[in-house]
Amino acid sequence: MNELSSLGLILLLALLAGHLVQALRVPEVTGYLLAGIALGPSVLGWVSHENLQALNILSEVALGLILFSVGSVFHQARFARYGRRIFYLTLIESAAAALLVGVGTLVTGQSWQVAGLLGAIAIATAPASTLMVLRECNSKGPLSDTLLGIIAVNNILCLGAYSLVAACIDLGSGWGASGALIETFYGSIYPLIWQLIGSVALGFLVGLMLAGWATKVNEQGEMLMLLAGSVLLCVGIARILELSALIASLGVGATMVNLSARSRRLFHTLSGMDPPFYAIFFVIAGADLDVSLVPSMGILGAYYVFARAAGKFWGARYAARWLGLEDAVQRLLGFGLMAQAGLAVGLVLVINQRFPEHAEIVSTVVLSSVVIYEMFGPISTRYAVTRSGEARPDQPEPASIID
Amino acid sequence: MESRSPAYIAVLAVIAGSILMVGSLMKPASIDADPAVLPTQAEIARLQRMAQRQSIESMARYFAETASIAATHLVYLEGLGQTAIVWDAEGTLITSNTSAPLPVELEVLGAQGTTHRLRATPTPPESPATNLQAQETLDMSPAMHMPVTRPEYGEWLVLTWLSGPVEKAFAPGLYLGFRAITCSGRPVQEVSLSMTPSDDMAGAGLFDLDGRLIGVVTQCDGRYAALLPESIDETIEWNKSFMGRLLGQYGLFIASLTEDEQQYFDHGEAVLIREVWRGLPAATAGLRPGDLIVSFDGLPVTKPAELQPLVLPAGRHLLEIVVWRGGRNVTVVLPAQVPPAGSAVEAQQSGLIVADETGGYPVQAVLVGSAAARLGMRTGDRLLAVDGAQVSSAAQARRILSSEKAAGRFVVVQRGRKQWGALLN
Repeated sequence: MNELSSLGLILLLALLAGHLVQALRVPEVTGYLLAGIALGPSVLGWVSHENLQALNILSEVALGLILFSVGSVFHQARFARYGRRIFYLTLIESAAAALLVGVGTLVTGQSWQVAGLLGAIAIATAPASTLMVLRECNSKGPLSDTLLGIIAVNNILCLGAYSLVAACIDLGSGWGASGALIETFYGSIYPLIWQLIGSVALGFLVGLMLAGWATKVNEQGEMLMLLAGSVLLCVGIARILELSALIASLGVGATMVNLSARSRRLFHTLSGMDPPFYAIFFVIAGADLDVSLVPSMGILGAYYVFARAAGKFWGARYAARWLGLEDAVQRLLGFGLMAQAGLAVGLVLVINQRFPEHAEIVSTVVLSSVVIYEMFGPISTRYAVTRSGEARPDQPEPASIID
Repeated sequence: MESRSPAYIAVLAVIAGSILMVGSLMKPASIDADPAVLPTQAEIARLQRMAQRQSIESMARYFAETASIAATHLVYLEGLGQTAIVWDAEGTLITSNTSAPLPVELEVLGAQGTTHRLRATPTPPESPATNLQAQETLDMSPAMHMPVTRPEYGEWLVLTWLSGPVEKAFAPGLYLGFRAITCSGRPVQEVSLSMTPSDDMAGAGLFDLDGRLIGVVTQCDGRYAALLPESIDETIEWNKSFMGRLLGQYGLFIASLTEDEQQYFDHGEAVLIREVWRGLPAATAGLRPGDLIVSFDGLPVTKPAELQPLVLPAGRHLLEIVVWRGGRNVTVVLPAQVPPAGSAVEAQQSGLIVADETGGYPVQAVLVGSAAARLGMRTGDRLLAVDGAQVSSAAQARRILSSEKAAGRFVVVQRGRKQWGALLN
């Protein structure tokens, strides 16, 4: 099957699966992922590894668009309201998950490097599926806002933690030659700073261009071109400069929402055009999931699934209670943080190249647990927003996240 | 853009731009390869050639190892200068048939340096393969020659032989399928290879990379061909058959008369001598192609099978055969070749036969589609006799052959050591 026919199949099957799972009160995202798993190499094989590779570019565009949307949570007025709580909540739930996973991994007899890498990866929460569930449920309220804020920040935190652990591993192995110490230190600390600050700078510049140009554009079609062009450019340049496309896209969204009075229209336009991209993104993500890995996850994998979930859940609950947040947030925030996907898989790929000696165990644990988190994360998020009463799925217009 | 002061935003933009610029410049060397240390095109080409050479060398080493494992099933036949393959657990060895006389007994070096005695089984002349029998238990295992699957087209095979008692030699080649050919009139299957086996490879084994025997190099109509093990087995079976043994032990090939021949000879059912081999007992005793065997040991003969006792171990040493030749009975006394004593082989190695006796007249040309061509005659064969009369001059032969005769003409032709007769009509 060539790329075009697989793309067609992906879209149609996603639509079908989305309808089917709605009857089961399961988020559409889960339907897309299931369709992806069915189409992908691990089950039917209609979409091959080669197809997936070719379609990967669409996946990146979709992720860019998603994070651009998520970036809108950094609106100044909203951030003033939620900023402090988001910061502490993220810090505490991430630390709890990372510590529980890391310490437990050490206890099972793994090296500190593996424990550190798994701990850092445990911080990530999938922004895409969380955002999709919020959109599908048309959810608004303190829980949804807090959730969006957390998924924006904790992925940055995850990248930061990973870079720190990676730097420590580099330093630990390069300790012998004293002359090369500074070089090693620089070489390992540089990506951390560069990926954080450089990506924000790139996102800011592209966002600035977008905001400036948006004042001159009135037609919806032109707006779409401008938006798609900016996000593609941002992702592309991030790849060239080895920056994080994820943070840069967040930066574009954040810049846009703060600098342009037209941002609301822009985000509205986006929500009209992005469903196919999201469908493609999730079906491809599903096709990439190797279901056959699940049985091989072992005790460590099972522990990782449990410890990360427990850390996120109790960390969020404890922090929310400590901050004196709304009751619904206290009870349900943890359920919204379960999903884990793209960033974790991306980090595994990076670890495969950079630390091949630790890659095997990390890959097995993360790639198998991602299957579980991808399947149950969206369901859990949906449960949280539905129980909190913030979901209004019956409203005709699926409004953008910005109000 | 409306809500902020343009100067503030411009400053932020400049800062962001500077961060990107400075950050790109400060990238540590380990993240991006330093252009200064990038090898030149020539260096890359040299490295590639080196890598290729290394892989060729490792391939050659691999073939050598494969060959040396395969060679544990091979022995070197001193004197003949060729290789034999251990064929089965009963101590049978297979080698290419040879035009040079085969000694009755050979001594070969086994795997542990022990000496084994082999006895050659009488083999029909021109049979592609000959078998040797070890006189005591061999300390070598037979070559695995029952491949479950044929090799894939283009698969590597290694031709392995011995060029001395312990000197291994090998030549890798690509498998190109197999095809049906004939070896001295017998259908066999030849392995097609990307290379042509030469005479120093006689008796070589063709092995796949798993060490399975895919073919045996044998002589076939004046050239060397790798025959499938099945064809070798069939050849050995034929060698052991009554006809094969008659040919191998006596140099005699017989058949029942065809209807045309019955008419020509004006004789009922009888056994016609089609072929004798000079230097072997039948020819030495005076039997000729075109003779009809009438009786054997006093018993009338009408079918070839009635001559079976010739190849069975018998008590007597001289056998009496009456043949009908030129309208009268001629008695021929044939010394019995008691198997497996191998006196036939001794006769072969007596040296009497080495010089080709040139008689008759050479065939200058055989017309395509002619009766002669149908009988398999070809340029270079020598015409010895027509209708029982020896050809004494070319003119006489031409005269006889051009005159009409309803029943046809029985011609006797010589090719190498083989004399054979056939009805030309």
